[in-house]
Amino acid sequence: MTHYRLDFLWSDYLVWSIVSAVIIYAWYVQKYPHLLSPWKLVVCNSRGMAAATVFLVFIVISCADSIHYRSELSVQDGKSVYSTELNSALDLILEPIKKNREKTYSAPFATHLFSKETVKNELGHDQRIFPRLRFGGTHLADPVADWLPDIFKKSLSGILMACVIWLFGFLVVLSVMSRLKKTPIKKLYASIWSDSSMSAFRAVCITIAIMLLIGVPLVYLASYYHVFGTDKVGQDVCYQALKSIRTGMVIGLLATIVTLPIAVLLGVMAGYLRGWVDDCIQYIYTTLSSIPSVLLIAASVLMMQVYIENHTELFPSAESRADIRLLALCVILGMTSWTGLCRLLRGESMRLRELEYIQAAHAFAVSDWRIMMQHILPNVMHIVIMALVMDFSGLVLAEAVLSYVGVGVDTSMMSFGTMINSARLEMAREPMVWWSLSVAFTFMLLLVLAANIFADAVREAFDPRLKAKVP
Amino acid sequence: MGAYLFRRILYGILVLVGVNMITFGLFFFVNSPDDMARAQLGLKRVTPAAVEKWKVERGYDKPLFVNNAVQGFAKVNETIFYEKSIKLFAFEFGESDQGRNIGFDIANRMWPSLAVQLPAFMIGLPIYLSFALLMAFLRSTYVDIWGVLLCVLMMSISVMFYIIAGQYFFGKLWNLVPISGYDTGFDAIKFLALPILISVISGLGSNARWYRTIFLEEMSKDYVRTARAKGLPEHKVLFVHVLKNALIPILTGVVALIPMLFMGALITESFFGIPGLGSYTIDAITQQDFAIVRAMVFLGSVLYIIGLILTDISYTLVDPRVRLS
Amino acid sequence: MSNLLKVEDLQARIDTPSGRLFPVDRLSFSIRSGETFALVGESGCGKSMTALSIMRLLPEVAHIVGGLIELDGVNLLSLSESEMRAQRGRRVGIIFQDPGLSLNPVMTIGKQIAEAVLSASTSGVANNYVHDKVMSLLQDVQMPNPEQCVHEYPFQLSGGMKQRAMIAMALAGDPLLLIADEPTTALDVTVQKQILQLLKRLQRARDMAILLITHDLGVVAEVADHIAVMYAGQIIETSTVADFFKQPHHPYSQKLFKSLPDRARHDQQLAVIPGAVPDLSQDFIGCRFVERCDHHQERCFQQLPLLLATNESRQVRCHFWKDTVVCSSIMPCPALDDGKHLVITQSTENLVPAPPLLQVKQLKLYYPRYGGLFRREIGVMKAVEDVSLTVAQGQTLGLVGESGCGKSSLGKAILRLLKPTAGQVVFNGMDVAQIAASDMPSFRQQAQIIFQDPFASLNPRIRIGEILAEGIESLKIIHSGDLQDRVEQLLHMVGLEPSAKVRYPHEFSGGQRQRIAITRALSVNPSLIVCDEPTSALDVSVQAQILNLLRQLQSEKQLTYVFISHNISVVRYMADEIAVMYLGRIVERGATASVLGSPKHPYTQTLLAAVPAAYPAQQLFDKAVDTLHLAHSDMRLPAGKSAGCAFYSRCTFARAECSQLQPVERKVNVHHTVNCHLY
Repeated sequence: MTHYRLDFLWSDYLVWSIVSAVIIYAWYVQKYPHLLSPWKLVVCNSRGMAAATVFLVFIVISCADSIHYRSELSVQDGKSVYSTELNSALDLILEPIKKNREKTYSAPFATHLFSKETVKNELGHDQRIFPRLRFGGTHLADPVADWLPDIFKKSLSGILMACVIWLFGFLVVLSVMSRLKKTPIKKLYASIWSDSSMSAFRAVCITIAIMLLIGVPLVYLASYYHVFGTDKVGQDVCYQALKSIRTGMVIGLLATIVTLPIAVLLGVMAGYLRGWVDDCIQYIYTTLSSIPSVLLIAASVLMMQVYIENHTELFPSAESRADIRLLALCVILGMTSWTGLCRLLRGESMRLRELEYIQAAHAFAVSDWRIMMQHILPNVMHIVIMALVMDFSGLVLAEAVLSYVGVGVDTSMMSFGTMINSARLEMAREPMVWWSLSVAFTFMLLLVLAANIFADAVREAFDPRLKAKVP
Repeated sequence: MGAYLFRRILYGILVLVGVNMITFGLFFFVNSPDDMARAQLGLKRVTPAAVEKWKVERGYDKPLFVNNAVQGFAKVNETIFYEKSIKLFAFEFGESDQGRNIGFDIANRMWPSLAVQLPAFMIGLPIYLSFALLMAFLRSTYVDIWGVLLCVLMMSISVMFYIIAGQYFFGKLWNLVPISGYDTGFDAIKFLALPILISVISGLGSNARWYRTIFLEEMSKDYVRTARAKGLPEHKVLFVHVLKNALIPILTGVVALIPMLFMGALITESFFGIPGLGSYTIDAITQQDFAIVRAMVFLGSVLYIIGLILTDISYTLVDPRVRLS
Repeated sequence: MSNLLKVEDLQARIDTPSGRLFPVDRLSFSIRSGETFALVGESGCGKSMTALSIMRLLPEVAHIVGGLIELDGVNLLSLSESEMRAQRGRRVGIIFQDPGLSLNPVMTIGKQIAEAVLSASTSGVANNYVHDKVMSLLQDVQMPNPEQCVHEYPFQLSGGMKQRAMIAMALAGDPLLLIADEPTTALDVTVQKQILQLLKRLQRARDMAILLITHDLGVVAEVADHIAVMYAGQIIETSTVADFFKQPHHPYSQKLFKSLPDRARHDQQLAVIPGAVPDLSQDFIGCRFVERCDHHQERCFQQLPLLLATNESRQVRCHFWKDTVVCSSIMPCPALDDGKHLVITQSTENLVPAPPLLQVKQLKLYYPRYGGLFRREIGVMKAVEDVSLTVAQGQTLGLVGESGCGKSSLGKAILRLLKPTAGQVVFNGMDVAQIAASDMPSFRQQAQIIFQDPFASLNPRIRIGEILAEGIESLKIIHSGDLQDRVEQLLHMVGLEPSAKVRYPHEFSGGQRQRIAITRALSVNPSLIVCDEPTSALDVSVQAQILNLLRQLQSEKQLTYVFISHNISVVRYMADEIAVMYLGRIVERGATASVLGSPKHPYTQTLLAAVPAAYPAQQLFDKAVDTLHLAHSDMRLPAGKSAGCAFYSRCTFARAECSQLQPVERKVNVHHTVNCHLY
């Protein structure tokens, strides 16, 4: 067994602190019924829960991609020498497809390279042919004849495996539920497919089934083929897409979270304290939001680039440089987006400060700081939660655009933006290299769509204006 | 009204001062001109002499705030702060780092941007509004539910996908329009058709959904019930009462966007090779032309503030509650 | 007369995420043409849902699931939506509670009425016909200055004028039936009087039936012919108004009367209906009132009483109505009344000059108005102007006035929740207006406040225990026991379970929340409490509970109250002394009996005359006041400078000097002063 050393990046720490913050929040929420009740509505929303299931898969992938380590190469003088290559747990899982590099482009499920090469045949003549791939479909003796039946056979067995896995999981969950709810399995089973209160559970089951039906055959096939093809340098596109998920996730979550304290503090202060504090804060956010966000981001990123290039000594490795750049991008994105949340919070705090319970607190000579923390803040949290989930999708989409413009993440970092950017250059190629683009767009669509639908469910549950009026 | 407007304009100028301070800080404090020169020249060609030459050519060799080398007003005038920041207020953008006149470029490139943005805006708005009205009119039916889902789907798709797919199908596969390029006069239409179409489609999801929310919020108000109690048919309730009220926030929101049309759409222009301000900005960013980026930041803020003021004016025009009190 | 409207077994259902409930459950009644039929009940009893069911304008969550609604022989429930549209406006019109929200804010009044006229007329009509019709409608509703009004937007009109416009719109199609859903609840009492008179006149002139939905028995007595009392989705009693007010049959109706503070003596407790309206999502077996009824028997739990006819015009839904009638009469009669007598240590009759706890001297509170180029202060809104008051220890001062008269601002200025512009507030020897920051906690401990809205006055995110502990912690009040014991003790004092402290505000009903708000004020042992409309958001039966509690606490703890209310009956019941406010000034003050018994100021007289009495043929106040000078114009905004008396423009007795000189305080008797040139 090789030794390894955990080597976390800054963004890893942040990802894991968000994960633990969410767990702590969930534990906190379940203690308080008034905090729990909107989440119960979210849980009952079948569309939202189906989206959450998909989203959870993305989260798991990006968490696995956030455990970085270096493996030990050798031991010299009792000291371990570690590899310069920083790997993550996801890399470990994807080891086979990461290593299987082809020479250049190959289409999904291809057995041959995409472009012709000159090779010497048995007779020693130069010949222009599509050479066999080094790794994709090498198990086929006669690629032309065996290719389609092999894929068909393997997909079929993948689908069968998916069915078995799903059924097994479903039965386990069912029996646990029947134990907990003390209802016989048969009755529970019937109620899942008929009872309207179980519709969210039903939606989750169906979503998992669909994901398994698509995912398991792909995983099975991925060990024989490049299921999504390879890119210019022969790297598996599936691997790139999976690695891009973390980048999108980190940007979507961190950008809002890093500037959240500023937005909340300033928003509440402006709305509650009014007067010159309000004037100053309003001026700050009007000024910031008056700069078109792309330009503000571009200007900041350009300056950051210049800074990093001039201070290379501060960043020990290429990975840490890319990581710092990612974090800086999050902060910059956050700086341009906090103004909207700040304005919302200011408005809501202004409404709240006129409420009678705030005046009652004044009548007890409660300090302003305490009123803001005790009375205002808990009553604006729903806006913060809505902003968090609703900004996510916009930020993921923005990353792609910014990377295209050249002010996104580091070019060495895999992201949807860099994938699209590099694939775009091959658009004019005849026949077209379509797979990189399609895969990047599909993954991005899945992530953003899941986030958007989930955000809708959260908004429906948290926004008091959307609740049905009952006279 | 006059006094109010004047105050808003003063505030706008104050905001512009703030914007200039931010850009000045970003460009001259985070990094020194030397750093910029090094970054521009690339690591290989960096010699102290080259850096100095680069700075002199672009006017970055002067002191930041006070020039003690000269006398009188020039003490303040011949500084980076004055040359690169104060002059912006007079819309003197100076020369780009490549040596081109920025003001001239902006004046030329504004019109292609507008040629895409304005038609897209004029065609898009009625389409978004009608789609939103249709969903609100048939609320809680399958049209509404699937309409909202369609909107969510459409807003989850990256704008780059719309562009690439459009170019592939309309340009490459069906050969209806050229993939990219630009021309003046009537020939421009064939180059503009696809960018306009894609701008309209890519905005459909988010806009229609947003307008639908506004319509529905308005429909839950009491005066709508009064209108129904008069015996008005549902379409009259919707078109006379709801639309009139909902259009106030929608139109005033839209008015704020009109000045920004000049700025162009970054991605669309870049993909379609339209020589507008959007592609100008992107080129400046990729070439790290700091002077153009500074100029565009300032121009963008000016247009944004004009939008804010226009919003205020349009409110007083369309809302009797603001107009008459 | 034939039945114009017949409602039979009407049932409406609301689907909520937590289940179904029936806000209207098998309702039957009928209205004859030309009569005014009042549907009375507390909030949530289903009366508004009934009105909307007749219009078929229920909100989307609610549906009519059964029954019959027949208007002039047409079954409304069998009509298609477009056929129903032809009924709305032409055969049945409706006006709503809040005219401010019910009118389209961006359409002129004229256009909105014209739209109703057009919608009601069958075919194309000439433009000038529409205009003439709009003008005649506006004249019918006695809209002041109609030519100008048609071009104005709702926000430019006062509340009363908006409601007139609403009525004009509802009358545009000459409906057979007008539904008035709480038409005056959002209006001031003097405006309410005008609107009620208007409705009555219009009904007579047009021979139109009115379905009046209200919670106010006084309004019923004023205008209605027939009454139906609703409780928890059902009608429990119907009667002619005359008979009903003579002797209500259902225990609930009887209790409603007894809980009114109108006729109760100052030293009596009000009758209360214990508990709250039952949750409508449950399945009822027996009588819905059984939990709260003093007369319930075994049978009441087992069997739902039917609506029994007691004579040809009365029905009551009670198994034992005969028994209950014998032992209760609505007229206040100490011998029959089960109200316990309170020991009042001090009363107005034998007023020993107690030391004043609170003295307000020439208090002014101006709100600045900004404008001009640099948003400078360009003027002021005088909310409180030259107010002087004295409240003795252990007494209650009632502050009465219509909305916007500055009474709440005055209350908050007394507590320094708002900073007075000028003048003094002397509390216990210290001048609160100039109080030093170091003395603030001690003042805050001694003077507290109770607010109007029990839903806005408790932070929904904090548990009751923490709400009650907040003041104790903030003011660092030391108690012998620990904090939790103190909180439990406080809860016990207002009749709440100790377990309430771990619960959240939304788990309590309005009345319980108001108890918690009172407890919070009491938590720091204050000597003065400003009660800012503490019962105006509550139903009558709950109001009685809160008033009783306030009285009981006052006598136990020697509390001093400044009791702010627009409801004269409540103030009359609570206050030892009364101050009447109009546009920021006090126009009359003195001992309650004297001021309300023989009001001197024309405004006080107007106010009293406008109060609808819940007892027909018997005025609430001993001296019948001429209602002549109910001026048309609503209260002006207290802006600009007015040299003379503020009431000048509305006063029928105004003289030349009234417009020039501010009247000074004049003594009527030892306990009564008035600011008026007439005296």
